[in-house]
Amino acid sequence: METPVAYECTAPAHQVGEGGPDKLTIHDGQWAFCPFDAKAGGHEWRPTGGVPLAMLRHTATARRTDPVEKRADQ
Amino acid sequence: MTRGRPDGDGVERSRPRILVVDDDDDVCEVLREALTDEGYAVATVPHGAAALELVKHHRPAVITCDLRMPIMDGWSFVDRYRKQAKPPASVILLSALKDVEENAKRLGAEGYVKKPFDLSDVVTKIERCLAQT
Repeated sequence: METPVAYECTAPAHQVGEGGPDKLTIHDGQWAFCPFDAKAGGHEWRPTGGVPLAMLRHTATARRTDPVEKRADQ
Repeated sequence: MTRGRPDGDGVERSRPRILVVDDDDDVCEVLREALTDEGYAVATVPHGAAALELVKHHRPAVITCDLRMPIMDGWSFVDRYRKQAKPPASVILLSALKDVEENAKRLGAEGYVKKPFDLSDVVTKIERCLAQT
């Protein structure tokens, strides 16, 4: 079973653009996902409750490409 | 932190040495703490070039290696390392890439663990590698 990701970055500036190749890091000893770049500064970490990495990747891609999803998140 | 008496680079001689190659400081720190608690002597470096330099002087028992890193990535490091080290240490790839298994086979790595990993999975893979040597 895949280890869940405990945090995701919700910084507005990190919701757009492809960013760097590494999206995963560790925050407070647990896995954390930033849709822009795990090594970028200015993260705003929010607990996910523990979700699969694939779900976070999918949501991040949808946000970047689907304006409806973008609006729903705002 | 490494316990016991360290040698020149902070890595103890008497316990199995694990070299962690990863450009993420937080990942390195979590692995260092967990593997030290398991009784290993752990060294961490941020890229393949630093790892190649370190293995000239200190032979690790197992190397855990990320793939995407600056300066020298994991593909280049593992390829060069396996050509120059006689015999090479076991290599375990730690990566979020979807095709990490294929990369492990292509590079001749002894194992892989996908990120996000559970630390116990990494420890288990290391133990298996050590048992085979």
